[in-house]
Amino acid sequence: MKTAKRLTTSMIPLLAICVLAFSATTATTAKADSKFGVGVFGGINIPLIQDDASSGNLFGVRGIYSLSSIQIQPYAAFSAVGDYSVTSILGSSTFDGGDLTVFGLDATIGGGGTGFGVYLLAGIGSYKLAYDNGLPLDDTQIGYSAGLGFRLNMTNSPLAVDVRLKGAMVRLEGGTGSRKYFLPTVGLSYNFGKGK
Amino acid sequence: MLTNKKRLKQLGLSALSVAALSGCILTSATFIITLLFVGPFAYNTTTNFDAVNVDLTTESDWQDNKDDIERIESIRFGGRVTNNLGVADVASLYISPTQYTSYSQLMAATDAYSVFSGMPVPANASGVTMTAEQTDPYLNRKKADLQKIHNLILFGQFFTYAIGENANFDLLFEDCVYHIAFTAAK
Repeated sequence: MKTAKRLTTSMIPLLAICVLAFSATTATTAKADSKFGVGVFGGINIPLIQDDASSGNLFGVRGIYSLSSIQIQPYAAFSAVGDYSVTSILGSSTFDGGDLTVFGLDATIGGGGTGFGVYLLAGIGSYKLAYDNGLPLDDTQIGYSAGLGFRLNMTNSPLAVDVRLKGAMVRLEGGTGSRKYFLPTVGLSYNFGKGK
Repeated sequence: MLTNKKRLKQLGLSALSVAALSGCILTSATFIITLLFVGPFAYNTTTNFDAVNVDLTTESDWQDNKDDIERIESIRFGGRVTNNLGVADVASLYISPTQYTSYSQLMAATDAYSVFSGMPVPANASGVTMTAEQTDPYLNRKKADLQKIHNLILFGQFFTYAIGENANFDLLFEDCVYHIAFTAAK
């Protein structure tokens, strides 16, 4: 999980600055009814029907552009996929499950207004699965995601709390097979220009 | 503000979306097969050179998915090794689709690939356990080699050989275990 730690150290602050800068500069030219925001999220990455991976932590940052009930959310997510073990007559052996890095774009519909709301989401992203020891082969592929979420928009406050249940499917190189992940997360977002 | 009816409608659509995604989810999976070869298998430069016939096609996970196997994800190996000589050696493991009966044949082969190399074996070692985790650092990591190895394993059958790097070696392998991960898609 060294790679994930390195990414955390070097990329998270940089990404956060980029997202903030993007939001701040574009907000001034945005229409009156549009909103910009930023958010952080964390949760669990649960590999589905993969014997060579187990659950691991997930965290990330996202930018938010809101227009009516639609939100466009560019994001970066980092996950240390859990190690997995095999047993035999020789005993147990544990292997690296890899580090998953995602740069993607989610679109949500619904969940706007004040109070509690439900939304649908669909997304696309670049999913890079890398291993500490180089085995199996590292792989970067386009992945697709879909799911639903529950958003609590605080009254007279720029803050919103978000619970997201997302499934991602990442096509494997040279075939029709894919790696699948269930990604439940909890997020906190700050919407510029709201609640003032 | 959304009305309760609209929220319920959204919730229903969301559930459908997740169900649709689940349909995609069940189309492929990654399995790990663990194979045991008790042995013993003897390897030396002159007399003994055993070919271990590895047959994945008899394994239930392989049989259940034989028409849908897309790629090999990883191959790992463990075993107990004995060094019958009083000189420390270094063990390597090869796989090939061809059955060879001598060290010289294997060294001349163009269809044999090194799975791992450089595993130290002490002098006069008897039944030293090398788990798959312990051999992991010695696995071949060259991408071109790995692709050839994985393509070979996709056939479901291959032969395994061990060698020492000394000019004269005399190794014995027992309780050999392969862990092979593969992905199948329907």
